[in-house]
Amino acid sequence: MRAWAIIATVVAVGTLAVVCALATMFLRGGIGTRSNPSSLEASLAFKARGMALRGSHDKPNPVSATPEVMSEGRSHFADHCAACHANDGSGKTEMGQLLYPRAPDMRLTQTQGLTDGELFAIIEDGVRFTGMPAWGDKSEESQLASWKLVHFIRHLPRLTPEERLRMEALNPKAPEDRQEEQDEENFLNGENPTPATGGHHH
Amino acid sequence: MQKQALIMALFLGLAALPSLAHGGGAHLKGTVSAIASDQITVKGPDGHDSQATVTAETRFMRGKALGKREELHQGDRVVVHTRKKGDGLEAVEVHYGTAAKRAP
Repeated sequence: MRAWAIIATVVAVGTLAVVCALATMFLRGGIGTRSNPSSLEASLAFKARGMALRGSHDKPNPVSATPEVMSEGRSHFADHCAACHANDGSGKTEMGQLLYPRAPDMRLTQTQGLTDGELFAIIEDGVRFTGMPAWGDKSEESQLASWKLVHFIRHLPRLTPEERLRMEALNPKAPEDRQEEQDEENFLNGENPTPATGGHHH
Repeated sequence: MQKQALIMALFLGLAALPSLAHGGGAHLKGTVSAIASDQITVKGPDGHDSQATVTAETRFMRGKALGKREELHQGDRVVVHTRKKGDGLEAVEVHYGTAAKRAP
């Protein structure tokens, strides 16, 4: 009877602590994503990520880092990842900087310190409670693409300005953005501007 | 009732998505009226001057290639992509033509 009372007390106190933590969180910033995660949240999330990735720690990359593989990885990153992570992996995009937690700077140790297997697992399976979706479908084709991306992510700290330019040509763009680019190019090449094109906001 | 509330919450959440991509700065299109190492002033088609700060991260683009600030001169046509920085604008990219065109 005494043991049950202790267990019930511990559960009640634990539940109360969680409720208080959630209430504090919501009172501080609601469910919005504009504020930065607190150091406690970041620390807990970092530890949880480490624990969840343990099983993938020692998986080696079965794909060799040939120039073709790097090129494919770069194109794939520009097309699928750069909207949040930016072409250079800095995470400095409108979406990346408003995700909760923010998209990390993948050139730094927080990402580069992960093993190839851990990076692969994150790409394939995603990370809960972040903006990172599971890109893989467990097929051989998707796994091959993810391993190629791992090679490219390793290259991010040494990305050259020329490579970044090549990636920009591959970034997904809305038809309106393409039209705007064309209008700007025409203007720069001598076409007279129209009054409506003075200050587009986006 | 709960289901309706959930659908409404989802709708409101999705409706807010487009604003995510529209919080940035302006594209300043016109001619260079002044350029310094830390600032560019662009005269728009309406004759109004707009300024943006130039930083070490500002990229200068000659057509599709990387360029240099030193290649720009007063009167050259430019399109400056900016982002908001405090009360002002920061130049993210400054685009100019392969053969710089002066104002007509």
